[in-house]
Amino acid sequence: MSSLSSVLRVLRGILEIPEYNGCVLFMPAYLQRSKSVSLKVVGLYPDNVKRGLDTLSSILCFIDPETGSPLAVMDGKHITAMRTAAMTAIAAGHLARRSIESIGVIGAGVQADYQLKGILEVRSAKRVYIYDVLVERSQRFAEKVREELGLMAQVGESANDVASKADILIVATTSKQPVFDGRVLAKGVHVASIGWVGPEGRELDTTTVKRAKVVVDTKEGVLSESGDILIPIREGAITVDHIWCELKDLVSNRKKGRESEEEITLWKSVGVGVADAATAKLAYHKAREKHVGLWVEI
Amino acid sequence: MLLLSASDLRQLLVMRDVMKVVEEAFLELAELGAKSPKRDTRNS
Repeated sequence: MSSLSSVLRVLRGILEIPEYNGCVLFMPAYLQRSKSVSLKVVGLYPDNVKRGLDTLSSILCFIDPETGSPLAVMDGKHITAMRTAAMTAIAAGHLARRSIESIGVIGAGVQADYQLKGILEVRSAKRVYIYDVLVERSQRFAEKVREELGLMAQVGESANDVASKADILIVATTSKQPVFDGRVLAKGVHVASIGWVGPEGRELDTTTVKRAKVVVDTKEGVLSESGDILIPIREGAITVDHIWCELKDLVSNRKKGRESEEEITLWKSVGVGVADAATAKLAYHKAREKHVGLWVEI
Repeated sequence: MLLLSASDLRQLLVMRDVMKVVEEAFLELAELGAKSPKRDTRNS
């Protein structure tokens, strides 16, 4: 048996399909102690918009680590959204001020809903400020927040407007350019950035990153895929050492989270496969317990 | 083999439970001193 570190070390595969302007990603993960093995397959096809199809599709295979047999195949998008929001919530529990009034949301797509609900698991807020480049989407999200969560919700005039008013700011966009000016952030704000656009694009500006104590899901992931961190490094504005720690350091109390009411904190996540594996295991066992899903022979 | 749709998963998963298992996964990474996996999934 190889060492545990090598067991847990997994590689992501990308299969480019240039003739259709798409790619398929293969994302394996293994948690030895909790006996979870999963493989998530994601299709990213921007031209699907023209076909009236989702640009992203995803399934996840949950595998028995003892036999290698597949135990379940499940929708990958819901698993991804839930585990991403869970990671954000865990990080916010360590990084956000205990007492807050408002949450800002920039980018009111599907992820924003999950992210907001995750944050509300660890912090209470009275108001939500929302901005999306699509005004209708902002308004729909505001209505949903009022109806489902019973919070005051207001559509902001601009991304800067929302960023300046938030105690916790969720940034969940597909923008390749910074969406707000980091100079408008108030002291003590916690920023949760989960938009993924690759190493050459970013939703955060250099000022935001430079002003903040930065915690990431994994350094390896962020330093290979997140322009939010890589571009400021390339500019010489920060070094790798500007990253305070990874999420595992917070949950294990190896590193402190927030240390003052005034510091600005930033959670940057590009995704971690082990979170998929853990969430898939939970779904599988709950499904068996509650007799949910469809059993098939293969 | 069990097939679980998005609708099934919405019935089954609540945020608090997912947070618990995800936190345990990161604790496992921390406690075992394991190397973090490569960037192997995307949020979008």
